[in-house]
Amino acid sequence: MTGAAASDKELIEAFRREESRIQAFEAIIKKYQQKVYWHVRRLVIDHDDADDVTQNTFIRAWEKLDGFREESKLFTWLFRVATNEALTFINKKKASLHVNMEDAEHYLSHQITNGIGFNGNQIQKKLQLAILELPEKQRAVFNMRYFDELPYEQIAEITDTSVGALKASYHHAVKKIETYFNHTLNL
Amino acid sequence: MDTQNPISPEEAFVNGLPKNNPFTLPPSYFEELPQSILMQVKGSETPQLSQTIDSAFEVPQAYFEQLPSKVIAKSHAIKTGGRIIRFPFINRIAAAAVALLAVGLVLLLSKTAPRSIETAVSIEQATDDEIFTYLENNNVSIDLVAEVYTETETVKNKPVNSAPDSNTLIEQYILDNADEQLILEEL
Repeated sequence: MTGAAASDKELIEAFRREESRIQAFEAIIKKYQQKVYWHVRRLVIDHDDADDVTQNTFIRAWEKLDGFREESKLFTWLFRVATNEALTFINKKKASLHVNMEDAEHYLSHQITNGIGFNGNQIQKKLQLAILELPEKQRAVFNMRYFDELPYEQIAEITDTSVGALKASYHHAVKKIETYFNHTLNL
Repeated sequence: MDTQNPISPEEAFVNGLPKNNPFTLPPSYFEELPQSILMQVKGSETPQLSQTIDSAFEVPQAYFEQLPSKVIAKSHAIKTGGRIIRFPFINRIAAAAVALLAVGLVLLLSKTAPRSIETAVSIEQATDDEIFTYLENNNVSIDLVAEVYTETETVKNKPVNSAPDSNTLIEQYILDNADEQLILEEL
């Protein structure tokens, strides 16, 4: 039972059986690859980086899925792994490039401004640039709430943070984005 | 948008911004991604046990057949109420020290208590003065005890599920006045 219609529980059970492990894992990838990829892409911006992080996320899932305790949804668990992988990737990249945070954000905003892997209109461009101004974890929270429209309770599970802190963080992020738009109104 | 956590009017500014995806992708990316990941995980599969056993060493008969169940039994033992509590290493040492001291205290009180038929003494019966005197005489840092106690209480009282959202004025006041640095640190 590893087709597209299989439930998470069925997929996990199939994954735990040696004979259906690969087939079940392929079905899990197909089911969640787009959600995971886009969540990662919005954080790392560059497609090749997002591809690396997405693949790492699923490889980590392959290694850890046997220990998945099913206390949370598979999707929530995968998002948690993906968020951690993406944030680790960003930090490693900054360290390897020997650049400070402003330079790294400048590099990413350069990609958006120059339309590398980006074909949005001016408002979309400005929104992405405003999001890039946020600290990484706040960016992740904003994206999950705004673009993925996840409930705070689910984001709390993914980030292991209280709902109150998430609401406050989102609230501050919205204010910062509004300020960014106001300051760059005529640019 | 989820109905559980509707976006508040204060967040209306971003509601007017586009949510559609402005990023581009190589053609057929999602068709090729599962195979790309599967190729990697197949290559990382754990080798057969027969390949890993070094012939120079002997293992008890059926050791590897029994090992998984032993590991599972041990991993179950560290779970508490379906939730794994991870204390920092130093606190584990401190917790062990406090447990030993508690036993010592009980023994001390047993010795000093008047000899009678009912000599059973529990830590609950000791007065605060007796406990502090004992700890002081044994060079135990009160801070260390307090740290362990506080952490234990915090974990015990931490709600597993957060309370449902309510968009009250008080909540809004807290959101507006929360120290953002503290929020970011909590994330």
